[in-house]
Amino acid sequence: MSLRRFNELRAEEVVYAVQRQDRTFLPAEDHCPLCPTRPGQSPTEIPFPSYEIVVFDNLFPSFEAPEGAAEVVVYTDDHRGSFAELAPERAQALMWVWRQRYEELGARPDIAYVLIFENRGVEVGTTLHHPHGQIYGFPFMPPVPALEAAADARLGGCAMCTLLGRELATGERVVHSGDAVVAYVPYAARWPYETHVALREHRPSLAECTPAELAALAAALQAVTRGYDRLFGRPFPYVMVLHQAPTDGRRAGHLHVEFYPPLRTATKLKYLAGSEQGAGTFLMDVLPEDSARALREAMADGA
Amino acid sequence: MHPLVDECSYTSGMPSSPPPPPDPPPAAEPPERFGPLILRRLVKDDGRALIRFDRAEDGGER
Repeated sequence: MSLRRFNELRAEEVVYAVQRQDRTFLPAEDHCPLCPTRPGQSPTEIPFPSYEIVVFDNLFPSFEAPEGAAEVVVYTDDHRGSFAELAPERAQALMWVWRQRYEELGARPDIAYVLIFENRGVEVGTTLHHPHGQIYGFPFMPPVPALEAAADARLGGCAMCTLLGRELATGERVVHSGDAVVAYVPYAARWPYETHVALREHRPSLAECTPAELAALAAALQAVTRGYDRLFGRPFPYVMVLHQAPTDGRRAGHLHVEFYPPLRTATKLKYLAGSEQGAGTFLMDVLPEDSARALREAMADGA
Repeated sequence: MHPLVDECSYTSGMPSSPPPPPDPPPAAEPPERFGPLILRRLVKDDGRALIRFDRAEDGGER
């Protein structure tokens, strides 16, 4: 079991999951635990010779019942694929998988917040190259969604609805505009190519989305990630996080997906250094309007 | 082992222990439907849960 301690100076929980220190680290392809179990070969985590999408309890959990959950979501049995390269129908199926897990985990009394995310690339700490994401069921309300709820109160309603309206009014940072889903580099981006993908309608979570909205969300996410890969002509590392309503009963949240990519050029990383870590203030080398223009062009190149 | 059985003769020419039985298939529950997906829940040998998601052949229309 992991251990929690409250950091008084930061007013936040810190989770110690010491069993994760020995987790599988960048194995060779023929030892990938997320590949199918093929006849005559050693069993992997997944006991099928082929599959579409699989979810299972993380062998090295940060949280586990009865105080939360930690799951692995494997997008495909193709070791060398990526979210961006999934067939559209499989990407749409993944939206339904996320929704099912959000609903089931969120219904548990020990889970206050369901965090669905993907860490892509060694630059953001991924330890398995096989295309996959993760789900954490937090047994407490973590700081970021709490800040979003505070923004709702500060802006006098849904903050995401307000911010999306502002982005659409100027349009200068919008990189994808569909009937149901919009993607943009936010006005105060904290990463050079940070992108938010939001539902036009106020949907607290995936559970309230129509099938058409889920399909549109999948298409927008793939458009952004394909644009990322074209931007510098290399696999683009990112952290992708779904922001949804808490599941502890409070009314808050507007479904959107945030990307935090660490690259500022093809070969240079944005580090969290003195100002970011010591003061909590991000310093940026590029204006969001400029990165939006570059990303929009990269996305258009492949459209 | 019976005390009158010589250990060496008893084990001579025999494997020290019988070969392990093949792994049993993971415990499975009936498939469930969720939107366009079919879910199959399994319990792995070590007790961890696994869900296999496949797209339904009817694409969710029924």
